[in-house]
Amino acid sequence: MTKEKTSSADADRLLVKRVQAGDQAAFNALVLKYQQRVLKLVSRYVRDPEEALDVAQEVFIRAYRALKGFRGDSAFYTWLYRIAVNAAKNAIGAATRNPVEGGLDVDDPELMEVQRRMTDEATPERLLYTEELKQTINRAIEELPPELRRAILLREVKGLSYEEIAQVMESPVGTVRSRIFRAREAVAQSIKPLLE
Amino acid sequence: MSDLLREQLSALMDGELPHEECELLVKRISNSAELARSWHAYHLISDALRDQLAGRDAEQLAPRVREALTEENTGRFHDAGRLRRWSTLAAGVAVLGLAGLAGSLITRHMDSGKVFAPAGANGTGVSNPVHVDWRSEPQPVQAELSRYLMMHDPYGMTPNASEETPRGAATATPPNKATNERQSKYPQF
Repeated sequence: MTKEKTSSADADRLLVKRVQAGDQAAFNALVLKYQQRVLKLVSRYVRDPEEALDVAQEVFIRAYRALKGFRGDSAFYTWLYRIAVNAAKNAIGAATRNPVEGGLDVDDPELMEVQRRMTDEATPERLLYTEELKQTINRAIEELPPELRRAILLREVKGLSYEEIAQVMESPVGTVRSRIFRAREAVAQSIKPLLE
Repeated sequence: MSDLLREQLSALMDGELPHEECELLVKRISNSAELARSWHAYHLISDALRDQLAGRDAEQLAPRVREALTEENTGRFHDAGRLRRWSTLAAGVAVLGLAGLAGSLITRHMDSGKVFAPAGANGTGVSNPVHVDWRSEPQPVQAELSRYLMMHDPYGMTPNASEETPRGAATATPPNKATNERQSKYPQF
């Protein structure tokens, strides 16, 4: 008999439950998990990096305040995504009321992303950090033993479950779990200096 | 922190951890800074591989949110950006309010031709009510301000200068021609 697994959304739900019980550190775990995604989402709407950061901060604070009423009908990230989009649209309220010249639709994140790239608001320092981080991670992954590299890429890039990876790699699920963990640890060590 | 805990953490973020191990681990993430660091690093790696990186700025979010919530819980204002905006707005409103109030008082007092005297300035020690003619028509502020300054000039000429008026206390008599001529000596505001 296989043990029932907790999905990623279930892990969020457990963290949310802890926040609702008054554990602020559990909310910090949620912020750490979603901070990159939320800022990336907000930056598609809000061009100024400083303002985008303020808006992203506001997103998490609004989420924290509203979390008491969160019943878990949807996944936490789906709920957070809606808060982020609303906050970003509010931040560009004037632009929403008067769409950008050329009829650019601010409701379309893809178009906003194109405009964002065209205006190239990212400073060289910002780009440098992101590029350095990506390169460090890619290099660390290339240097992994083949079975670890394959396991983590099947998980992160292909999105396969441990069961599916076990079938592909013809290995027990426990081995897959261990390989993915060891791959993450090796990569985490390589980016440690960038995070300090 | 043991490898086992970090391996559980890795499985948790993939949604592959058995239920019975999950709750305790989530509790540990809340309580262990080291475990939280691994949690952060694993997600950062995941975001990079899935092209979800926003950059270094995003790394400021967790400490900023933590600080804001701590401040909020201790009753302080949470949002630095909003605080800046409100402070600027409040300062602007205060300056405008003060300027308006000053202008209004000067205009009213000077235009009536009966300037106020401090209570008890008649030398009797008994307070007199301040007399202000509120029906007076407003005049240009600059001229009024100059007149006001002139009237409060300790060396200024007043029509009843021979009377024993306490220095600095104004009389209720309108400015005469001599005082009007002195206006040109004062800078226009």
